[in-house]
Amino acid sequence: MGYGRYIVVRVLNALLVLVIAVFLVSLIFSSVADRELRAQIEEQIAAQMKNPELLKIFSVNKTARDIWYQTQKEILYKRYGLDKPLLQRVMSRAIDQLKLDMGKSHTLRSATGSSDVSRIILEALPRTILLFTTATIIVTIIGLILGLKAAQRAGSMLDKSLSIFALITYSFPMWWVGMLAIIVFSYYLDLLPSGGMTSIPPPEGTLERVADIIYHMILPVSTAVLVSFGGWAYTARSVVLSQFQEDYVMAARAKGVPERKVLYKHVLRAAAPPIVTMMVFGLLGSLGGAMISEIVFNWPGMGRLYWIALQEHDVPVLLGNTTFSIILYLASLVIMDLIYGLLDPRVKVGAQVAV
Amino acid sequence: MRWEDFKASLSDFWFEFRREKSGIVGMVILIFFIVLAVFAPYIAPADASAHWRDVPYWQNLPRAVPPAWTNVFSTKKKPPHLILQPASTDVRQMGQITENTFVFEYDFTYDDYPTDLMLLISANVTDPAKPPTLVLTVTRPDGTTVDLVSTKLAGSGVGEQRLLISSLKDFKARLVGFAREYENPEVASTLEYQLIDPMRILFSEAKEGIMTAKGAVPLKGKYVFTAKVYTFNPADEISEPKLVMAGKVYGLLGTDTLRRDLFSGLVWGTRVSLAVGIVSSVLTTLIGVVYGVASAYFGGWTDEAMQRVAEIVASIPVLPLLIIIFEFYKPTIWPVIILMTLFSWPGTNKVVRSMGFQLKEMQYVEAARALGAGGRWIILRHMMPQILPYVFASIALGVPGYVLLEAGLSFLGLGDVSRVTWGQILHDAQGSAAALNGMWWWVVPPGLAIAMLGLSFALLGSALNKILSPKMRTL
Amino acid sequence: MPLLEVRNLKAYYLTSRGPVKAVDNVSFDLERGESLGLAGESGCGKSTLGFALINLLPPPGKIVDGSIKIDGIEVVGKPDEELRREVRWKKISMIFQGAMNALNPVLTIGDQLSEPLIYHQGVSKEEATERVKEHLELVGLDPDIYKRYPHELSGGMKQRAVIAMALLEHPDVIIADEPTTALDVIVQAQILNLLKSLKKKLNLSIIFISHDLAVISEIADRLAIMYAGEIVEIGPSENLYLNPRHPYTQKLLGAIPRLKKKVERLEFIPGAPPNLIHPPSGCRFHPRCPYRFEPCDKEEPPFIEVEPGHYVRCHLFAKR
Ligand SMILES: Nc1ncnc2c1ncn2[C@@H]1O[C@H](COP(=O)(O)OP(=O)(O)O)[C@@H](O)[C@H]1O
Ligand code: SF4
Ligand SMILES: [Mg+2]
Repeated sequence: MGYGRYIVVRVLNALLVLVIAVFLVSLIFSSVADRELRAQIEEQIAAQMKNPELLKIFSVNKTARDIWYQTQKEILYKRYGLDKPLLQRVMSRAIDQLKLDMGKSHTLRSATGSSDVSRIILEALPRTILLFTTATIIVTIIGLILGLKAAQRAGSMLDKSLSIFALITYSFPMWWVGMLAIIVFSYYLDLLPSGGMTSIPPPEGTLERVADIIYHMILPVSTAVLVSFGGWAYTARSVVLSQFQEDYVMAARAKGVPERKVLYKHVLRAAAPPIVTMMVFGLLGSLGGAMISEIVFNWPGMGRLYWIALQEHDVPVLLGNTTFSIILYLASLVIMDLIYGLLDPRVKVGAQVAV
Repeated sequence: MRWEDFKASLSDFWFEFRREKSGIVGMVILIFFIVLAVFAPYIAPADASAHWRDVPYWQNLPRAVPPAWTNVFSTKKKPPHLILQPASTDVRQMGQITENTFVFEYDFTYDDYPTDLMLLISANVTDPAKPPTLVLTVTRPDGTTVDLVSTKLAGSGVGEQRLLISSLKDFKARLVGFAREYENPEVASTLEYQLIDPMRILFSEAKEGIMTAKGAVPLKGKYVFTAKVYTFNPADEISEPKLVMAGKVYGLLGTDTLRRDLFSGLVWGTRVSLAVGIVSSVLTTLIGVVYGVASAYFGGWTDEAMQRVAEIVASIPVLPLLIIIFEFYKPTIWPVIILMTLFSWPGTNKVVRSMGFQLKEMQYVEAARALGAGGRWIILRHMMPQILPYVFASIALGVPGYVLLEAGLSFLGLGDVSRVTWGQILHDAQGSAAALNGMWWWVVPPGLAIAMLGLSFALLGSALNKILSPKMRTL
Repeated sequence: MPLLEVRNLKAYYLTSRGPVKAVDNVSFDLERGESLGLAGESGCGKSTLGFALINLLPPPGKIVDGSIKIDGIEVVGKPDEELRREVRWKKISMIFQGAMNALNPVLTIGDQLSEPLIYHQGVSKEEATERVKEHLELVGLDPDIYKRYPHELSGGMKQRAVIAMALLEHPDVIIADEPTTALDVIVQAQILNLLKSLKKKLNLSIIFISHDLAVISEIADRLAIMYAGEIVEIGPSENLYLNPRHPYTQKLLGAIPRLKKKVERLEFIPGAPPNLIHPPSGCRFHPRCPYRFEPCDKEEPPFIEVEPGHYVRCHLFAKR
């Protein structure tokens, strides 16, 4: 197939999923929102009809009342787009979302004072990415090293404790561990800030600011790492171990390849693609957990935006945040696909040559 | 596979399972939770779940206090939650006026003070314009007597009334007045009135320091509370008076800021988590299995198309979509379950499909087809028994994910609001900044329950996997 | 002195449920330039014997007893590092089953084939590449294939590459474990022809393992039949093929067309292929033997020479 084509296919696939998912969101939203909108319009007209002059006219002429009511309704339906069929409304809403034209928030403002939903979210997005990528990189490194060590010494104390640790943390809610971390490290030990991204007010100077942000990242990042690294290490371990059972390992040993080379050249290279595949699931699973954890740590990213939008029932923010979450999720997926393609010659080089 | 073989492999399986320690541990934890869920109405108040959001329901409990057993680890004994019955009752008729006297005795032997003082009383009032009047006095162990409050009861209606005496203005004013007689006037004048705790004054030695947190010394001994309730109509009835000393500790797991008993919440929450976890996982696995088997069985273009669909479903991000659905439809528990399964079956489908392909290649399925058996018969008769072991492991391993997902949605404030869930308890904890205020008893148990329930299934699943996977390899 | 001398070899898998006696008390010789066919239904321990010979049993497999001498050198008990440097691939190499998994999917053919030369003989990369290309040509492949990845080759091409890999260091003994099993019939014939011609050209000594007697008889000078971890009959190919003595061999040969189905079916009845943790007492074949008689389930049958070089492990041939 070739790497180039592979990339194109994966990106197209992600775009297709994006369109489907955003369409679904619009559909879900529209079906409920329309009902509410209609009710609101009825109320609005009823309120207008209380106008004494109108009432005077209507008391004389009943048909005038009906006609007035109908025209009023039509005007408002038109204004809110309710005169078009549902599917069309869903489509145009989905297209607006995809164009990042997400309307205005009625509760939130961006740092520059804009109430544009996409502005607000674009401000939160990098913060989420910062936290999530940092945690992911650390987890990957720790996970791979530990997993490899455990696989090399399968059955050892290290291996067994790793398996148990992974099993236990497998079912820990990351955000709950965050709450515990705050109780221990902020409340009792008073070592680390309990939340936020910067001190208030933030310190002067770029270097100080960066240090301040890092200081605020310690607790959320450590929480994510603590909860995730066991599972990643266990995954890496299992993949490496299963590679050790492959025939080519025996073949390499039989050929007289030294044990170190068997591990680092044969097993690791071959384990890389399946490890990436397995980790995609872990990664995307922990994206949700990480976003919820933001709430606990009051980290001003997309997760906390969800919290606020849900508390305030700020629908435009909720929808926009959902679209951006889907984009973030699919972008991560594509990145993992790209890495996979680089590691697996079956993708990189392409298919079988003719015999 | 014949039935006898199936039975044999089942007993074989049980033999091996008993040797997997982790599986047994998982089983024990799971049984514990199942017992909690099944006997919830007997372990905790039967109506606790339905009333979880009913604030008045919980008003008789202390607010945001740790569990009672924390006393064991602390040198400072904190007062538990006590509901006092009257030690003596007396009724005097004075013309139209009736005087009901109730005497309560409270043995105060603690190093800390109760959080609140409440009076519960049933009053049947005939004339709302003439509500009964309450006068409460206390005689302390040192012999001093303080008039605490005189106040009116609610004038209308029948049934139990609840007076939060310790939050009445009168109560505080009188106790502060009492304390001023003993406190160093300089100290007394600098104190901010807001920060003075009347309950502390009530139970402290009458000497300098009584008004400050640092200076006050608990006065231990017998406190006699005398409640006189005057009614102004002979038909009025006063009954079942109770004096509540809201403790600084309560029950097995303490209370939250809405005075709810967290133990009840935890016990009732088990039902939701268990049901959601198990049913979702079973459903997902079944959908995945049926889809995968069908895909493998038909093969060719059908298979290709079905797998494309599965791939798309698999890459739809579940959480954002569920958030939207939950926010706009506010579903109850069963739709919640179905919604969660809707996006999660492709994984199972993939595994089952490849197993199905392997099985399909095997001669005996071919042979069965040659003999003219129908497609469904082949699948049920040959594929299913082989796939079954995988199904069990997959169900068990899927549960923690759903428990976590449900908890996460509840934590966001979504999900079924008609019953209590662990995630909701944590949602409220987050809303009240429980972690920031060190209220560990509110944060730790629900999360631990989520983790343990998940762990039990993870242990079971990995034990199943360990036992079953070598068999899978010989397929 | 025979090139390969195996005596009372026992290779067990030490599992938690007890040792799986996959190779139990196996003895045989292999002369230079000779090919020995090893046959038996699947699960009888053929591959285990092959792995034991190159001293690379997959865990928890272990050689628990016996001796293997290659060219007079005892290899059982030799430290792993010495085996790696002196014995493996130089003296004994292996053509792996199926070819699909013996090649690492993420490394090029050239990379994998040149490994033994680089790690054993300290050959430079360029020289190794040259030698690999020569050997690729020897097995009938385009030498340019050395820069390809395994997935780019067809099954037959991969099998040829694996054969080339086994020949690289001109070992004394080559073990071929089911080299044609996963291939379709035409390719299977091509590979067999290749092996036959290579054997003649290079005077190879081969142990050829297969569950398919028809395949084996084409290439083997001598035949050994395994059942439940033991060699039950061994002798010159033609003798054994035309005049099988052991009841199991007779069943195997007499029922080739019918047998295939039968064996497959047996595999689905749990416990039917003998359990190698608790193999049947006496003669291991007795539960399925139509001729079994009084001593069969009690005494282990001795190895009896029924004609020169033709041995059978069966009570029927014991002199009484
Ligand atoms: N890693 C292992 N652990 C335990 N038993 C094994 C292992 N590998 C093979 N066996 C058992 O050893 C016996 C012989 O296997 P094998 O040598 O692969 O047979 P063959 O190659 O003749 O088909 C079989 O009964 C098999 O179940
Ligand atoms: S020893 Fe007995 S049971 Fe075994 S093969 Fe010979 S006759 Fe049959
Ligand atoms: Mg084999």
